[in-house]
Amino acid sequence: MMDPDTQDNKPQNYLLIIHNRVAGRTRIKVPGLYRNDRLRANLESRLTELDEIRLAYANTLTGNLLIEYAAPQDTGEMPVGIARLLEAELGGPLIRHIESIDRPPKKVLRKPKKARRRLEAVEYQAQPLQLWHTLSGTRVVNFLQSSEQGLTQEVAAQRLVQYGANVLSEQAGRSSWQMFLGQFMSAPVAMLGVSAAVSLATGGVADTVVIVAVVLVNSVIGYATEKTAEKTINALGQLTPETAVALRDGFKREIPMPDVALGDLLVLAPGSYIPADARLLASHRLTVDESPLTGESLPISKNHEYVGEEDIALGDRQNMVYMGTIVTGGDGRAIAVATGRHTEIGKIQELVGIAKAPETPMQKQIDDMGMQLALLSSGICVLVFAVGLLRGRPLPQMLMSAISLAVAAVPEGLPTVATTTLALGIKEMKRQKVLIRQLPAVENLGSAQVICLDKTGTLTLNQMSVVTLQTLHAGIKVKQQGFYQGKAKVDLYRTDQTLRRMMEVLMLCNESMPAKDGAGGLQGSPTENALLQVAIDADEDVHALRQHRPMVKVDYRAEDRPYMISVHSLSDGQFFSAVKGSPAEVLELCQQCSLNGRVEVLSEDQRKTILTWNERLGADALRVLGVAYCITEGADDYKQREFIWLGLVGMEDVIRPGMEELMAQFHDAGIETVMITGDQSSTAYSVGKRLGLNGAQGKSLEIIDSGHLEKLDPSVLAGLVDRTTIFSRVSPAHKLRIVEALQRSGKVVAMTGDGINDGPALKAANIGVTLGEKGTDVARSIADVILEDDDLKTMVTAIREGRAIYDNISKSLHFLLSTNLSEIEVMLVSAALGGVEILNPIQLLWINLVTDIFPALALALDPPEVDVLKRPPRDPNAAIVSRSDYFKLIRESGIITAGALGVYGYSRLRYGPGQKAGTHAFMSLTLAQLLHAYRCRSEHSSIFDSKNRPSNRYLDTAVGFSVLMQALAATLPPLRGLLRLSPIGVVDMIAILAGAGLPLLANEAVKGINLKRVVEPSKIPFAQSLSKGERDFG
Amino acid sequence: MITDFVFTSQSVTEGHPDRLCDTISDAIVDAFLRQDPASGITAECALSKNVLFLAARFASEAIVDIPELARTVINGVGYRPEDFNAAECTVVTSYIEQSKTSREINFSNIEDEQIDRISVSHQTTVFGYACRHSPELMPLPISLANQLARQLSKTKRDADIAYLSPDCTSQVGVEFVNDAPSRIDSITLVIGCDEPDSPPAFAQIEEDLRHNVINPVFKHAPVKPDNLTRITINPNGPYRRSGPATHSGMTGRKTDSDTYGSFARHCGSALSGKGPSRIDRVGAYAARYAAKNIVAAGLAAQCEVQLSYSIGFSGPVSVYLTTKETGVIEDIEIRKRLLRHFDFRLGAIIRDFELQELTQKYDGVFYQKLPVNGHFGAHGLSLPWEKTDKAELLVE
Repeated sequence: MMDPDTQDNKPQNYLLIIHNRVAGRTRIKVPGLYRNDRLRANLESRLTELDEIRLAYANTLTGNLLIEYAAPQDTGEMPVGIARLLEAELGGPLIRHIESIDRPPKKVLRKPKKARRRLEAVEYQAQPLQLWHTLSGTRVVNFLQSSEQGLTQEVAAQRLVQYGANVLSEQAGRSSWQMFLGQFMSAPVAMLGVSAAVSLATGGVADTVVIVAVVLVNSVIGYATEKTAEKTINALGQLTPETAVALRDGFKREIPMPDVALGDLLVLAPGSYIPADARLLASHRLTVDESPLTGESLPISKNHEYVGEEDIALGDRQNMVYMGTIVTGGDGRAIAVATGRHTEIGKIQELVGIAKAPETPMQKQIDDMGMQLALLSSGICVLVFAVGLLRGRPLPQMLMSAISLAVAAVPEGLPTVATTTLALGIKEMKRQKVLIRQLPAVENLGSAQVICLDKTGTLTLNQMSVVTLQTLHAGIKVKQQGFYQGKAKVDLYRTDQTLRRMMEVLMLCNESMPAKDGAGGLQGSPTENALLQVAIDADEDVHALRQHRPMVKVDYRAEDRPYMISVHSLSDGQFFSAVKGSPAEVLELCQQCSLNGRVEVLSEDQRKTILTWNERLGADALRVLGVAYCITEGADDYKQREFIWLGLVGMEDVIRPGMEELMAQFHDAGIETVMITGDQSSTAYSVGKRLGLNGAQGKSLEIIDSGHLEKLDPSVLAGLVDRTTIFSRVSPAHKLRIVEALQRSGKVVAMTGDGINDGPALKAANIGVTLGEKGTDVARSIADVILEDDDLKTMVTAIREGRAIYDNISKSLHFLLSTNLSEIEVMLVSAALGGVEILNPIQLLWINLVTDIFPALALALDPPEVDVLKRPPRDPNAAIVSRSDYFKLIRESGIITAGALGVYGYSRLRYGPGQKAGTHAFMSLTLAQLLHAYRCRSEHSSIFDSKNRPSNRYLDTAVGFSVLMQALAATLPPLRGLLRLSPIGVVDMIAILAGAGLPLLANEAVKGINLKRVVEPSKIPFAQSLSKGERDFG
Repeated sequence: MITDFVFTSQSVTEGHPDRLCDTISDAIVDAFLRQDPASGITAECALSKNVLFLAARFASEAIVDIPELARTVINGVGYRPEDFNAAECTVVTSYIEQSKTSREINFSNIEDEQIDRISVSHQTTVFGYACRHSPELMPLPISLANQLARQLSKTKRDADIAYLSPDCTSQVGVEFVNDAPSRIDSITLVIGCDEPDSPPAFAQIEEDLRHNVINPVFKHAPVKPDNLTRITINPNGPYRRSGPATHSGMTGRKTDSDTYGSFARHCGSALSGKGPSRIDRVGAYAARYAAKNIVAAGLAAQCEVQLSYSIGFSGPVSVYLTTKETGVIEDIEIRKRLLRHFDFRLGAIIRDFELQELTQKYDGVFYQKLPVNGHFGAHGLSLPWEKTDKAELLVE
């Protein structure tokens, strides 16, 4: 869908500024100037008439025009003046760079889109064109008559009317009619048309009617599937935010995206989607992801103070931000200088005109294959035709047969099957809370080999929880279900009296606040929330205690004081001081300890024990705090440092439930798991071990620890990542490097991320995954896959479905190819035999209609096979139909053909060549093809082990329906007449059923034998061979 | 039989990548033993431009931040950041955890029959050697080469020579007459230079090294350089860059200077990075202990003890020694006495040398010091296998 505006923008029709670095002069490439003296004279005279131009020199040999300005130029105003003249003179737009497409907007106004009916009558004014990046900020503000307070609402509204809404020209999809008509624009239909004409010419009116009916039915089915598929696929990727933040009347306002007007002051914050092209007025460490525009995946730094040269590349204009890009860090303000389709991205979109989602590699492969097969089939048809003619059959009959065979044999359904399967799969995934945003992701999901997981937030809950309470008397494990000592669930205070005091300290020396409504939520730092939560879990009433013991003083943690002390007044006039902090330091403050509630002198041995515990807990990746208290007469007496030791509290960022099983599932599915964390190695190791990242066999855990991955040569990193399970101490910015390194080592990589700075990595990964609720807008807009239920476990579903979709496409292909092949083979034999044809053209068309489409579509809906998550991922480079598959197809179709021909032979012997034998062959072939659909359901299991196969009721229905149609064809006289079938006797019926059923059994038996052969060598237990290798002789 | 010859041995300083890898490996051993003395641990290390590879196979309660530990060790060496930046390097660590089953043995009061049940898990033949060249009963060439290397490291640490890099090598050639060291034939020092832009004059280097390194070492040496001693310093000119930037390192590649400078046999497997349960390390210590006590007892001028271990046996399958005809009594008699007074079973070695407790005893740093200070004949460390407490028993 190119609009007329862009069509005249062909390469020879623009003026390219090739050089304007030297101040005061510009060199322009003028097409048509070469050896054209008339144009030269004309240009020179017209240009020198202008006051601003001192000299204009057109070179007819180089085709360049040199302009020297009268006054030195420091702004972009002049080129516009001259540009207008040049454009008027030469009839082409003036551009600076081919890739920047910085041409002035057309005066020809576009008709607004149908969707915006209310503006239909309005014609928009052209937006002012300036080289905004060369102007200072204030000049831009003045030029656009805006102010520091932003636009007023009225001006904004007026401008929207004047210049149009801030919307990109949406691509009009194909209309329903176009899509329906498109069904007829194919080679098979054309062939059918020819055959209809031939039928008509030879007097077969009935044949003609049948053919037209076939075409119509085919088209309706094709239209219906394609329509739904296109709808699903077009819905992908539309996730841009609906509002933007701008200053209006001096106030920050959230305004709808289409209402952003020229001159609006945009407020930029991390994660902001930039709603229009804008010149920065203020910025602080602003970085922007410009990949939608430039493809550069690393964030670009922006600076409002920068003033650029005219011809600087788009990506280097540091003082500009562009629509569709995303703020990854810092903040700033910018004034909108171009909106809607006048923005850079708008121009690109108009030029490129993305009417259709790009095809995935698999779709391309299938298209190519379809084309090759069509050629092959046509060749065979010609062969059949030639052999038939040589055998002395009449020309019109042979022509009809050949054409019908072509129609039946050409796998015209291939692309439709792939697209439909993808679309249906996407729908199914959506039902299971997996939102697909990019079509290729579906395919990649099936071949994902590595999944990179963020530790914080993805594998863990990203909230601290107390997991251990260690007093001198007892060690308590805190779990979700309650408090445990060893394996036994215990009552906290009955186990150790000291814990009561400990809870008091945790509640008092704590600034976290329970939410007013009492429902869960705590407001405070993660650590303090965790401490408060454990007290709440112990059934303590925070409010009551805090009211009862009001705080009189607090000493916060400081550089030289790694603990916090709060002092509270007691009702008896004494003061209760609570302290929590670094265990060693808190222990220093203590002279006594509480042992099961009794206060005793703290012995040296006890001190040592406490420090050992502290080390142990710390080594186990816990954050450890020491807790103590004292009760004194005066409010300041706590400074005497005579505290009573209570115990240690260990906290950690708890791993989400079920993650360990999830990792095992990934490993079962042959997918490597890689954890990425900013933690130090020991923490990472401890978490990795608990998650079972080293797999069931207990392989080694390989950890790459680097705060400076950028210093490492990418090729070295690629060599290292192969077996790495954990990246520790890395920053989110390094994720991109990790993804790239994994890809360099030949892996298909899935990457999770939800932060703003995860964007580049998500984009670079083959499958960028973000969790629905938690993901930032940036992550959501870039990710290929969104797990809507915020649960990583859904990733397994996504992978299962991804694999199933690929499997199903390959099943459908398998079915279509093998059945079409069998038809060709039968017709080849028929042609070779000579005499009466085995199948007549109408029968071939019938087979095409009845047996091909419905089972193929039903196979596309096959539920995932049981072992789909036990298999390794498929080789991403393998063809969907490999060479060995072709042999298989030939073998299987041969068996089907043999069945049909067997029936034919039997009937021919019994009844002689003629309608009866043909009828039997036809019935047998059709039924065999239908049954073959069951063979195609799996490459890993056969109909003999049905209990391991989930049933596919779509297939049952489709086959049932087709069999019914077939039965009608055999019994209903009008239909029988059309197809020229004879009535079938009971004995013949048995022969037909045998001819249809035996091929299925034979094919399944061969599959079973092959499967066994493949399985045999790998029966050696994996663990055994591994343990041998692990033994070291060093 | 040739009895007059020159023998050279060489050594490297703490900043040599191979030596550094040994130190890192032993630091890992220490870290595990510090937290859990019963740890089983084997650590290996390789170092290249800015990547550090670590592998730790362990059965332990301890959790060690191995990369951080390695960075700390490297930082202590003092490379210039452009030669190696410990904070910015990438550390690839392979954690291989083994089952902790056969671990819980308290060696301090172990029963004899329990020792019998502890069998070695590696097959090896180890050697121990001692001779009367030096007071610590080590061969003179390696003793001097190691002392020079240590002095170079000390000079670097004390910043006595500003341009000295941590990565240097030393070699000493000793002339033997009648199998006894008679004079110093040659001294070769190759030093890296940390000031590549303004390399010091050659004469300056020589003067500095003589003053700060050679003279202090030979001050107390039994044999001193004479006028004919060839002293060579940086024969190929000063190295502008040194350390991991120019050459890679790996654990266990400096076993000759770890042991006897090739003057006596050594088993070839690395000593560093192995915990107390590795017989190929502790067996070498036990053999040295035996040889040193024999020489200290005056039973011979030199002695080489050989112990052979097979997997599945608790003690050596072969104990052999030779005094190279310097013995005052028959070798066979010496071996009899040796077997009477020394217990070469793995469990006994661990118990007698307190190998599991040494780290805690020395405030968490014991094995880490060995690569630089020498596993044998080290100055300033009282290593249990360097004691001559059994000499008297052997004299009887």
